[in-house]
Amino acid sequence: MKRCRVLKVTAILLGPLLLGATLAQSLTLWTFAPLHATFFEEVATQMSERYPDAEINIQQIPFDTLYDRLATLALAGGRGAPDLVDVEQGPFNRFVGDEMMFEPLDSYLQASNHEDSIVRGKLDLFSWDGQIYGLEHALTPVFLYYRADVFEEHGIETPIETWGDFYEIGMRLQEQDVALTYSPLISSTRMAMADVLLQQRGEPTFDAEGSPNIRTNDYAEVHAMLQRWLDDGIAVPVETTTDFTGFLNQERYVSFIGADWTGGQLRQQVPDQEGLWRIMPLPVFEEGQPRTGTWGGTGLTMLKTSRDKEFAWEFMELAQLTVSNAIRRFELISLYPPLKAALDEPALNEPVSYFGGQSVGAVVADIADEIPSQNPSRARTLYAEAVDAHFFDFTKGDLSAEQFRDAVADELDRLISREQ
Amino acid sequence: MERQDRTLQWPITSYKIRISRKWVPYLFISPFFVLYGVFGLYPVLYGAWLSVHKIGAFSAPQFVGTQNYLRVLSDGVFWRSIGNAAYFLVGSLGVILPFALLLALLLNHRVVARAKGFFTTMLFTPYVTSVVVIGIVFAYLFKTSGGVLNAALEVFGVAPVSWLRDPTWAIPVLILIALWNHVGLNALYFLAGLQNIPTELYDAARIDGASGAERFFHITLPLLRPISLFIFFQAIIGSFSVFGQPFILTNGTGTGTNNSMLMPTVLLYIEGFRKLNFGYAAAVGYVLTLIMLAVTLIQLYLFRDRDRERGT
Repeated sequence: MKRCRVLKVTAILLGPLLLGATLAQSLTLWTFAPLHATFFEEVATQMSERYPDAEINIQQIPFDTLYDRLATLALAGGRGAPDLVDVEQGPFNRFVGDEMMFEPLDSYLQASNHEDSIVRGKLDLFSWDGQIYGLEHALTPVFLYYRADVFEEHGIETPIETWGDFYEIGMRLQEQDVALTYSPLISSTRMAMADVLLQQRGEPTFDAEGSPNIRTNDYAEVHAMLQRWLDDGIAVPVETTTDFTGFLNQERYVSFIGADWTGGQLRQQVPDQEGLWRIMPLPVFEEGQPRTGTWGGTGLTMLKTSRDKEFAWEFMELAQLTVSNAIRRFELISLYPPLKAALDEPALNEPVSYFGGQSVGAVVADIADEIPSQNPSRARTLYAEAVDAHFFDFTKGDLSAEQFRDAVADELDRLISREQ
Repeated sequence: MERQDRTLQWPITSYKIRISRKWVPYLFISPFFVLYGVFGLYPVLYGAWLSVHKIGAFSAPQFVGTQNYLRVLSDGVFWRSIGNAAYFLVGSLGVILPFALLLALLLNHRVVARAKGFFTTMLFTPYVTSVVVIGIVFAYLFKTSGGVLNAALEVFGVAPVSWLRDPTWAIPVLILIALWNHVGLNALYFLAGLQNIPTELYDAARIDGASGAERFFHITLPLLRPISLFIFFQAIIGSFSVFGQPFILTNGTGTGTNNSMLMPTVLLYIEGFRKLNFGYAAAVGYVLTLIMLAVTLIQLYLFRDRDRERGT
């Protein structure tokens, strides 16, 4: 009798709590980028206005740790997994395969009439086997960043039309002890840079099916060009990830190829150079080629194991598919949105003080139609290994660009067959 | 009457007392076993299970028997990592131990012994320095362009060397870092061994006319054998489990040019966490453990044999 009474009291006391726990929406989101976390916090506040009882937890986790945890969760079948995860395009390729841990978003996009809301190329980056798994944050167009003051001082006219002109300007500056740009000795950065140039030539490293497209003359010529920049002294070598900003601080080079997100890094790492930098479309190899490329990108994904998928989708929609938040993200992180409806917004074309009052939006609008797709591939991780195996011999001069291309292609074939 | 008193003192039956007395010791030692079971035994057993399965992200495990093990044994990349670790081990033993012994002998000398506290602190500091900090600092020292080492070599007319990218230098660089990192700790181990050698032995040898070198080779070195054995084991385990330095020195790839810095534990991490080949990674872990176990058993056998010959 006594035991029965205790149970009743416990039920009365805990009942509302348990009921509340069942009914109140909750959502956990992982991101690796501090500025993305700030943006998502703002979106969480907007969601809380709609759902005052909702518990939204934005967690910022260091880049590698986030993907290590995601891998562990994949092994554990998703127990304790977050609902939404910011996945950078590189690691996304690790998680694609026969069994996806991400929820396909096609039906959600269809139901909310957002099938054509995002630029197709940016949806392709987070697609696998015909299904979409992530919503991009940025258009990631690639520009040529340059120091306007140095260019003006040396009488360099902008925009630079071709890579041939770029090389000639570099040789001219070199005579005056000024390095025009940098060329990475970090294999992963070099291949990302080469990938942009190969996109311009219409021969991306991976084709639309995700198969390697390496045995081309374009591959050898692009790598030869990047190496020539180093050998002829128009570029400084960047050996470590900290060199990039370290050399900017030391003003060791005056222009570089970079995506829109590099603009955010510039603002953070060299704030004292505000007003000195500008952007221009990339030079081309031949007339008619795209004056841009795409480099990097991060998509917001939903895990299959999300407890409340509808609620998670509502958050995704609010964050990635509304014009107001696309603008807010641009203001916070300088990421030009891939959302078509936002592309003509005047707010995106405002002058940016860091770039001396230049309108980044105007440059993006100029090249928007030329931005190519970047094809995802499970073999990208293996490609990095293949490049790593021969990159030193190439940069040392022991391998020609053609030999390097063939060695990388052979190595990649070997690694792919090893995986199978 | 006696029975009644006992009942008053212990208001539970003697049977319950017997039960509780029987279980209390187990209760006291249980925290260790519970923690060991959860964090030690379970991962070991789970790893064994994983190693005979093929598992991808969110996919159902598929039993593959010895397939993962056969793949490890025929994988050139795995053997490359073992070769790198063996090179690192030989280099570490060949460079660190003589240095450590020399330092220990100096510290044990009566002149230096006065400031022993200062020197031991100095020697121990690198060991407690974070691996990440060590990696970053040495990455700057070994940079090709603008690196301290190349700048110093340039003074003598030596052309810049790509210390971190050139496969020839990959392991020597790791050995050099390990020397800075571990020489102090090993010197302290040797110092502890030296201080346990009875001084009477040296006095007796001196009276018998033994030279300094004879005293070192016939007294010091043989009596340092137990501590040397311990240091050897530490070096084997340390060499095969080095992880942080290669990772930082290679900008996060962990492999170096053409896998020149790839260590077995890094391979395990890459296979498991970057490629999601969990089964294969677990098999790498087990094969590595077996190799280390074999090396350790051989070494134990060799040392035991020598001790028997000496009648100790």
